[in-house]
Amino acid sequence: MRPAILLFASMSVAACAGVLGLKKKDQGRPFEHKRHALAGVSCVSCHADIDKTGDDGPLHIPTTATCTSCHQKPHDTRACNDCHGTPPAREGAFAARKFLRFSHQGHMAKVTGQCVPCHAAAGQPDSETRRPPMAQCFTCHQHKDQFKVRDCDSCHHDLPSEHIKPSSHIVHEGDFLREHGVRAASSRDLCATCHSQSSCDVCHGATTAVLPWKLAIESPTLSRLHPGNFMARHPDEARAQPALCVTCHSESSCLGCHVDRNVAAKKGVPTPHPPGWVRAVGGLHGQAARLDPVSCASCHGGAGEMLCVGCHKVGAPGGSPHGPTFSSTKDKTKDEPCRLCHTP
Amino acid sequence: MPASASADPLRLRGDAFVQTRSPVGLLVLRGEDRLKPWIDVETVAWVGARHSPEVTGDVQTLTVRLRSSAGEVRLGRFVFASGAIRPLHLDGVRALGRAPFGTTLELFGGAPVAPRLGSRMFDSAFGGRVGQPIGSFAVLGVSYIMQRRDGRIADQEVGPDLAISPSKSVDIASRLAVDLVTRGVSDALFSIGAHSGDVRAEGFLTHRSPSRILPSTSVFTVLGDIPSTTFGGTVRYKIAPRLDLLGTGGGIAMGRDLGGFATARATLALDDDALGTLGVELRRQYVGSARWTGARALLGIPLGASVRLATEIEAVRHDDGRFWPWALLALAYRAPRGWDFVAGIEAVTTRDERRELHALGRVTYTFERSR
Repeated sequence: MRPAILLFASMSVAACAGVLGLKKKDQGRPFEHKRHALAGVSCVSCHADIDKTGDDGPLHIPTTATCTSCHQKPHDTRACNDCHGTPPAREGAFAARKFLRFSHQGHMAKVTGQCVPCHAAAGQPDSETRRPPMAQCFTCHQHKDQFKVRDCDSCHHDLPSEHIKPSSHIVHEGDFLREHGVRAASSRDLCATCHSQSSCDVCHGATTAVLPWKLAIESPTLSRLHPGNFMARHPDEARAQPALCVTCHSESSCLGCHVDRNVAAKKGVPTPHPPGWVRAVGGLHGQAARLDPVSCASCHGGAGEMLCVGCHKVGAPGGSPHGPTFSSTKDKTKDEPCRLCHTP
Repeated sequence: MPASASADPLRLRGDAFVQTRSPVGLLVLRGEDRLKPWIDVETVAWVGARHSPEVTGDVQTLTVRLRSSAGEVRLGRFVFASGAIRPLHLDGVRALGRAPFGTTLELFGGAPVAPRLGSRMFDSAFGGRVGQPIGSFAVLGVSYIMQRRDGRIADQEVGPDLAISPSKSVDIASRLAVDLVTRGVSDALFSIGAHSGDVRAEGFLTHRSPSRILPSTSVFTVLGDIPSTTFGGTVRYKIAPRLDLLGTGGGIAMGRDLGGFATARATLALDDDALGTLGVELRRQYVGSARWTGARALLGIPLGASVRLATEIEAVRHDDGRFWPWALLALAYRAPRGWDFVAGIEAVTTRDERRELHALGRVTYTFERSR
């Protein structure tokens, strides 16, 4: 019995390790750069003509022919690249060529033909990539002017497609949506290096046509403000956080949408309010309106406000609607909305 | 792998979207131009058909941005978001100037956007923000806005915002908007986050005064102030390389009413590149009459190199007994030469518990021109 439990437990752990990513995927072996360098093979003898290239053109990854020029009796019939060198290393080189403005030719004279000052990772046998980190660039280039105006274009000419996140600032983790407004204000042009104007407009705009996530139904893991069956729960979500909706939508958005969908209150449709909503004394609507005046305004705004004025104007039976915390700098006989009730 | 590559600074994209729910059909056209580093142009517009015959389309974004080391100017239709003041969709202009010591001055002016190609005479908005970095760890800003509706003052607010990163593992964000018409706090946020290794923890406090957020020309602003205050925390833990856990909980106070909310979420990547994902989420809200419990599960998996299957299931039970199950199944195909096709079926339960089945579809074409 005990060996069976042990076997089951071992298999479970192994399965979990694979499923949870605890076991690292075998990516092949990194190319033996250090070994070649110690053998006296210069970089350009394999990466021929890389010292003469600009910011586009071939990648200068050695081919099997390059290897067999020295290793005349290869130990395998497959292409050397199949085993020596990892896909992440090659993908890094490809991404650098595609997304960066960088000229090896322009740099070679300044580093007196030495590759290692930038490609220090070549000396580390287990390193998966030889692409220098951005911090390596800053050992020579200050880029103060570009940083000041967040002008990344001089090196990264297509950051949105490069899909890299800032490594040292503006961490988009946890519930970043909550505080992104403050971050965007303090680092506005940093945001603009990756996010276009429509990134803001799709949520905060007054002219969005459908729930934004419906344009990406094939990506359910994207952060969504109104996921799933939001239409069924939206009155509850709105009630739970009064006035949160109007930080993006105008208070008249509700009525516009309800009219479109033919669910607005109208003649012949029963009132949505419970019994006892409006009474001469002790009606429910006053307290509800104080808690969430935006909900009232979403249907009774504009001309509908006269429904309130009819009972609550000065001298009318509804009495004063002002709560104990009300204050205003407006002129009650001249300004809107005061004069609706305060003028005879 | 291609032997060489270059970027695509000119992009045009068109999305044709149709759904039987509503129903709505949209043609979204989007263009971006980054050919010159000092200018970029961007537009998103849609045309479509809905229930109302008069609705034919709208412009969401239409901007030209000019920039230099001294500042930048943005013209057209865009969202202006300053630190303390709520975002505003505007037809107008925004100018930003940079002064020595990192000081920035932003000014904006124009007319708030009226949806559906509408126009509102005598509506206007103007304001700005002054920002000042403090060392390399904080930025302090002060914003001001005045909005007029039909020529009358509808909103006048001022407020500070402060973003602090005292160390690589701690960040703080706060803002406070004060309504100058009724002289009180209309909107405020304080958030502090800290991360260490695979754990990130956040605490937050928000405060909103609905009567001060409404335009001051509305009769519903004279009722007095019962603000709502929300407080809570979020913890995210990357428990394994492919497994993320997130928990959020907190309380809401609205006058004498107290409530709470909680969310727990687990997301498992099905491969090292997270091309496939499985997620589950539980949620509970208990505020006034808004009391419900919900569960949601999602799955996205690649079926070969160009086909993707995604599905979501949600079940929400209101405390009054109503039950709203919902499901979505989508299949996406990425065709060569910039074409994408997506088709989906949505099974919906409406608020009054009617069961409906709807279809959704999208065709996308992306054109990218190389240098």
